[in-house]
Amino acid sequence: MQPVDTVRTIETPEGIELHLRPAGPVARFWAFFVDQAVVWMGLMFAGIALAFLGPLGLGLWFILVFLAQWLYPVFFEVLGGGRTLGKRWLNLRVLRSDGRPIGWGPSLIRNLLRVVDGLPGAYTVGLVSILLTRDFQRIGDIVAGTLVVHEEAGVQAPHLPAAEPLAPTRALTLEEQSAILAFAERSPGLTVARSEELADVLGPLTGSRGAGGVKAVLGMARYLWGGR
Amino acid sequence: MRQQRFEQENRPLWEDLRGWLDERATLGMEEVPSAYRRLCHHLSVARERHYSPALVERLQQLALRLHQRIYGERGEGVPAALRFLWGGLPRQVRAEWRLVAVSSLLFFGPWIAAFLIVRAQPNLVHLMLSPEEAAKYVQMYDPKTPVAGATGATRDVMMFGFYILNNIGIDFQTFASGLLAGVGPLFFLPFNGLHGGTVMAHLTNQGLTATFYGFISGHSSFELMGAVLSGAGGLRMGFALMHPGRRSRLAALREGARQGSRLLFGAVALTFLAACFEGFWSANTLVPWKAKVGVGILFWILLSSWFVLAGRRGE
Repeated sequence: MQPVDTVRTIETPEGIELHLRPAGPVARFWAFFVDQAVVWMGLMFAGIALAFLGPLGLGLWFILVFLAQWLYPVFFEVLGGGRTLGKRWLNLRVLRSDGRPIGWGPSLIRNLLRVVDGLPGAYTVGLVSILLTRDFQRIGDIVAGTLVVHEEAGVQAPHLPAAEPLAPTRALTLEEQSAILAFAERSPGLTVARSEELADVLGPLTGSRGAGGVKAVLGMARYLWGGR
Repeated sequence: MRQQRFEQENRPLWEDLRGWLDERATLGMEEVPSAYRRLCHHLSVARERHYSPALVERLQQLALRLHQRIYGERGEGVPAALRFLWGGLPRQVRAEWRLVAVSSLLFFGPWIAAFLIVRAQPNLVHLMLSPEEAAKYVQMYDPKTPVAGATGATRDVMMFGFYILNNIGIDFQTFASGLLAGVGPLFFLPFNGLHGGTVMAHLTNQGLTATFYGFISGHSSFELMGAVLSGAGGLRMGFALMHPGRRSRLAALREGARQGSRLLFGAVALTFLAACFEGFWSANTLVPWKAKVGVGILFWILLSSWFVLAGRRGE
């Protein structure tokens, strides 16, 4: 059974499934906000500096405004691996909906269609579209075939806490084994009280509670991971 | 097989692949595909055997990064863009000639109509322009108007920047609003056409022929065709949405946007060229206005023959 989740699964030509986690409206709003702040601050300072050049500076500033308004996200998305500064800040990334990196064409389309997503003001169309689509796509994303996903933080090599391997007292299903391993991998990050509370759920299996229970579950994880 | 042994046996391969991604290649180029396929196999096995979630996640992230690297397109780069502008754009325009014709009609039809009407009935100019606007245009092209504040090259750069910001921005807007079932181009093109035709007729009525035609003719071909192409690109999108043919509406829309954005790219290039001429050539007063009109006509001929003739080899 599939749990209810926002994960989008893509199937590769090798026949494996890869998971992407589309980003919702709040994260995307903050990324947008950071981008806008950076762009307008930049334009302001550039404007002050260019003001000393008179009409020449004004002309250059117009060009900067044009680039900032229309093409800033395109350049950053294509050359920066799908990430504008705001998306970098929030660990978001734009990808094609099949998981590949975004290119010039789709990036241009998705960013120009901000005109439509921005209607009738305050990104209302875009927000409604994000809320209505399964993968949180605004109109520009739908047309360009792109996704904004959460960039997974690099997972460290699994490190199981040391424990005496202990064979489970009864046969476990694969899901149960997987759950025990997951507990062991996460336990270094849990408080002692929480670890014990979770291990107590397995009381009937380990036959002990509290610290003894945790030790028994970690032992089983060790056993499942590496045998004797 | 226990997870520990599985990890032990396969870790070198994973490290090799990770090294290849991080530009610390211990793996030859030709070994990567088979190593990647083995990683995919490992990922399936790890999922099937319910190895620990952290291991599965680690493998899946490695596979995702490799997937992106292996199947990602290499950027087409500047040479390809220039090649497209040289041969691909005229081909695209010919392939979409119906939409380009509709877009031209939407733009030049009202332009010509407004011009003829205002020429015949000069007072009708106020249907389109308020008296202040009309006076402003007259003042702009009055040969006695001194250019405010700035002179020469710096003013040229200022106007160049303004034309980029304003004109290419209009192209983008026309294109994007085409998504709304073509409503954007259907409105912007005739509106801009009416406006242009009215101004042209009004200034002709006022006898400012020399300054006005001298100014606009040089860049007119590029700028007006840029507007037409951006409209055609927007119509392409709107049309795909309204009339998807045998595709699903979404697939048709995506294809329409892809084709339309190629026209838009051409429109942007033309508008940029127009801004260069408008900024650095059109305002030039050293060349007699009849010569400038001649150059403008020459550009129209060159541009149309380029649309008709270029890029036919290898079609």
